Amino acid sequence: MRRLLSLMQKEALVLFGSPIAYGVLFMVALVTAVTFFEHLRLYNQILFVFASSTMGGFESDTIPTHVNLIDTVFNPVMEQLGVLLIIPLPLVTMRVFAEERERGTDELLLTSGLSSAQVIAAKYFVTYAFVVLMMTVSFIYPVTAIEQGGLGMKHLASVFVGLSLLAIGIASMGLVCSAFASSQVVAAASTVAVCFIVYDLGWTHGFVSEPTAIFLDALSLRLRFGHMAEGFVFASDLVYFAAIACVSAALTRLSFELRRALG
Amino acid sequence: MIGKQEAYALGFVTCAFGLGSIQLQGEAQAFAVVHIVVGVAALLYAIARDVQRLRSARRDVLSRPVLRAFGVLLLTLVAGIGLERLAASSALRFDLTFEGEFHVAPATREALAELEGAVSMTLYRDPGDPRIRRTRMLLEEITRGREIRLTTRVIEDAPEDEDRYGIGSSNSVVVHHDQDWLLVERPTEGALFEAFARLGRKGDRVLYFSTGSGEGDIQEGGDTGFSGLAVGFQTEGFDVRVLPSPVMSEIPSDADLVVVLAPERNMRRDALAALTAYVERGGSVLAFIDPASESGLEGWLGDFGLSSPAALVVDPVSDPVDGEIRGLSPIVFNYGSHPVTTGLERNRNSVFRRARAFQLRKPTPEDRLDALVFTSPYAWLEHAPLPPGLRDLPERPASERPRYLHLAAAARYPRGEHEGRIVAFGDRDFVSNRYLRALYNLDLVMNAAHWAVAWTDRVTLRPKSAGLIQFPVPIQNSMKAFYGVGLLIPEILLIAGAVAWFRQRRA
Repeated sequence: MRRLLSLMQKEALVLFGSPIAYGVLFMVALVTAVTFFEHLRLYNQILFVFASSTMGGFESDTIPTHVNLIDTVFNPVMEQLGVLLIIPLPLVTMRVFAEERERGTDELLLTSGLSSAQVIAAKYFVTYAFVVLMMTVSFIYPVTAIEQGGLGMKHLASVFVGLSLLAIGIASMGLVCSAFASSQVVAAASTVAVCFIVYDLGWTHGFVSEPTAIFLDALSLRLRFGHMAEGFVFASDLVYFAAIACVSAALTRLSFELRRALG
Repeated sequence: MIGKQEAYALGFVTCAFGLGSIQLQGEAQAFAVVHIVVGVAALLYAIARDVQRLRSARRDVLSRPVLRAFGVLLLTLVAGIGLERLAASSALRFDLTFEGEFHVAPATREALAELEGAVSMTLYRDPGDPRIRRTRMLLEEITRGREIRLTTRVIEDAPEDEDRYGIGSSNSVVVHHDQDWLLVERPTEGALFEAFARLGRKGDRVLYFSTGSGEGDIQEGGDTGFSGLAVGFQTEGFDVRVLPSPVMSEIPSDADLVVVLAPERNMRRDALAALTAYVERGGSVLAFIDPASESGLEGWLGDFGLSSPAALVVDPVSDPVDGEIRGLSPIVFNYGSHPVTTGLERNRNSVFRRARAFQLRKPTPEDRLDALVFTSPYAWLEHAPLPPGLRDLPERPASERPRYLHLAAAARYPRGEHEGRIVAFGDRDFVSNRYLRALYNLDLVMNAAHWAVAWTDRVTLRPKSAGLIQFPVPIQNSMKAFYGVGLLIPEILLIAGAVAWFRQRRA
């Protein structure tokens, strides 16, 4: 257990010793704050225009239903951040396994008395902790702003859970790519491409049969975290993201064993 | 020659760009085809290299640790899919929406359950319409556990449907039931409930609206009209007909319910006698009276033990409604225990507009009279006409003591083998088009009708439109927060990143 904790500590130190981690945290926190603030400002403006008694032809109670906090702020922010996460996260995950391999320290790690499963668990745990930290830091401003409005906090919590799980899903795919790749650049490029493909398969509906479309929908990341944008956390979506994490870990372990076997 | 790793990266990236192009263009153009061909070729090349390597080291690859890891992977995959399917079938979810937006009302499920035969729903949309996701979720929630075909179609791709169903805008739903169909243009839960009810509930009970003595007009579609009430009754399964009171000497034998909407002129004695005879032989009447008029209906109700003094109810705890001064539009939250008020609790309000009150006294010991709706205990009756231009709550006369007043009552009159039923309301404006769907007014009046015709299994609470968050988030505070934590946190992170970079360079 002590060795496992030491490995986690070492992973955390390496991660936060690198400017890339801070760069990613900076970028996600800034874009979240700016995007959220811009949508909130726009929402207030539209609301004011419709509710203003000085507007001829509008009554104060005729605000269109589409002008509301969920549709005007939460949903678009979540959509934009969802796509945005595909770019910075692979920069963090690319080094986790591929860097060890580039430096040749992966063999050293496996002779440290830890099993491959323990090494994988430690690296996955630290990466997921970073993802949760990144989302928490990014959501400090939205929480502050919504708390002052006094409404929608529960829904915002759902948005947070959705984006965090999406980020964990992307990070899991990034870790698998990092485990199979020898080069960090290859790992990052593959992760971006794979996540982009799996992000939304809804566009295939016009090209494939209905059962295939349903199957592809079930695989799409966007549909899963989209439920949470609406304020709904389905147990099946939680299991879906947990399954991505577990399958990724199993794939990573297979890559370890294959490398050992092939030398 | 590129290496295997580079081939994988190239394959994924070019495939992603090719598929992305198809997604954006809606068709596979040359750019997409070239990218996908190059991508697939690169992936095949990389896979071939891997296969070649694995074949040359077959013995090593088939070692126990590799096979075990492969087994664990397969097991994880199967367990993941199985658990996900299990969770999906359990439909377990946590609703974090504002006011539980996706909690489907029992009335909706009941109306849907009454639709026997094949049911399907098609959601028509324009690409990019942000409302579709929510509507789709609502439809999925409503149809959960039922074999209902749910499809989504782009309007542009279905011009024949556009003409056939008269689809005017995106986010419209067509509900099919056997050969019948209904178009729902604003698919809220309430609108879908009404569509299900109208498709499944054919006019099983006959309801007559009395007309001709200045009763509320069920043809009038404006705010002060009552067309919504007539449509509401049709939705609930009543066959709505009209009965002219000036020539009424007998209530038709097929009448299950007669509705008298506060006549403004005197009702003929013959008409009132016909109503009495109808109730005596087991008929049901829904009677509405107004403080502004005396038509003879008030006296008729008095004969049945539902007397109503010619006075206006003032309830000082009720806030102003629609420009009316405080206290004159009672917002009620006290309900008597009765089948009509099933589900109506203190947090489910109804709103009346200038109402009068009832005093209950049984005409015969066998009769049963129940108050349905009460004011607050601070209400009183204002017998004198209100002075014109009154801007604030009138002062309570010294002769009046504050007390609970009854704004609606239900009565049963057993007469031999028959039992007549009357439900009386001290206001008619609360069921006008403007107020019928406010708060729980519709539930109160529809449940009263169902109870009156002994259709108590239809007493329910109808779905309400979910409250949208349309309140401004104070922009000044939001700006302060933005320039505070919103920018401060990224700034700190940037500085920390710079420090880490310098340290790394020094090391």
